[in-house]
Amino acid sequence: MTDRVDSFACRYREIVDDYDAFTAALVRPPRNTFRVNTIKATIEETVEHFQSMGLSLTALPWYPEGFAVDGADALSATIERFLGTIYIGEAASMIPPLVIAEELRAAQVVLDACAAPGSKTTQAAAIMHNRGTIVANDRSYGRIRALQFNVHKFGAINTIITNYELHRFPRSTFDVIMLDAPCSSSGTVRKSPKLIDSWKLDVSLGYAERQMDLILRSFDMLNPGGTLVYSTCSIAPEENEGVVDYLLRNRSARVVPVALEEFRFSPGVTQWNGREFSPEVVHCGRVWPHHNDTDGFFVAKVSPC
Amino acid sequence: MLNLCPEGIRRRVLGYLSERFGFDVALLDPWELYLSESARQKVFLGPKTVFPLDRTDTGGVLIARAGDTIKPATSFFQMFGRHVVRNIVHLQKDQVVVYCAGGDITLAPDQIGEAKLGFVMVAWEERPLGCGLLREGGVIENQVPKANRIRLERL
Repeated sequence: MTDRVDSFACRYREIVDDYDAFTAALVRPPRNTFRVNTIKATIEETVEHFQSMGLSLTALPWYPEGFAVDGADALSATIERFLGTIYIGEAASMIPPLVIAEELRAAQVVLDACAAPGSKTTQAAAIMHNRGTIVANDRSYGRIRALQFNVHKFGAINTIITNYELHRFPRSTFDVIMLDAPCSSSGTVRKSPKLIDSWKLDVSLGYAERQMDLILRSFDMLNPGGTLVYSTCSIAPEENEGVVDYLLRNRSARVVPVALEEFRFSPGVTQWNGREFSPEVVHCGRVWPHHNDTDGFFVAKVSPC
Repeated sequence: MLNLCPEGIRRRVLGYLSERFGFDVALLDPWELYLSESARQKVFLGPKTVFPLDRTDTGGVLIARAGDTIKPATSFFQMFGRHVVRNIVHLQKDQVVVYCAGGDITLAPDQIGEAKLGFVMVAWEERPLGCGLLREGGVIENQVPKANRIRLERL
């Protein structure tokens, strides 16, 4: 292990189960993963065509639509990409819609609060079989164009797009809200190794401030009995358990345990740098890169009490 | 902003899809037709929703443009092409590569079949690929939006 990796990783030494495996995973290139867009194609026909082209696929054990493929550019110039029958993306980012799949299927109205470029919106649309309504919101007008492109390309008919700062969002309530919050991306160093050198605690704390605003605002838009799924691609507790803890201290909320068959979550941490978080954050799902061969990630399911 | 599609345009678009492509428009019943505010008269298929439309930016999937003539969208064929029954043109493998990259194609006479001049659905094997404009001489003018074009490296 190099000094630079250690200087990035050492702050997690006390909360990660296998520090050597963790640091080894950080410098391993990420797998090329995709999900089959079942709005437009079946898993079987997609797999069959990839195999006919000689591509070697590995099924993700925790997601029937998810696969990893050998070869860095194997997916980018395929007919499947042209047709929008596959969505290329990091495996961990597919987790939030999966841990609320049941809630999505039952929902009438869903908000994707920070939706661009649309990976979770389009995945949720597939889970919902294009029924109900997804309001896909993003504050950035530039990113709205990318979101719109993907909604079209991946056939998310049940989606309407809005362009608001979340605190200015029109008065509305939702059965399910997905908040994939802007973050320091410290879980994505496999894809972006420069983060190992550039990540700074100050930056993380700055994001945490914003995330706390966003999670309160999102929670306040939930219908009674609704579900909020909060996620980041950061592994910093300040941006994760600390934000959920802030919500629990300021609203009547409970954390619903996250689970996904064949996927290994680690429990949320309840102590960090001298801070004590609510014992409930143990029900959050912390994703270490070495456990499932993914990016680092965090996900929490919250409902009103 | 999304606007509900006026009844006249709705009837024109659905009538066209039904007549030209034999498409069962009842398949679209679970959703709603919307019209963009732009001059290009884009017709989208989106959710039946109670969310206030005046607060939306856009949404749904483009199915056609309803100018002087109706132009079906590539995204319509890619979504619903398996329910299209006529005015379909099937490409050969080498032609698929040209089509996906945005090129025009000259069809062999037997590829034209019973397709009539005008907009057609372009397909490869069982896969609907998108929209083409069939012209005299068996030329398919490519209608794939620029942003969707791709240079296939394997097929």
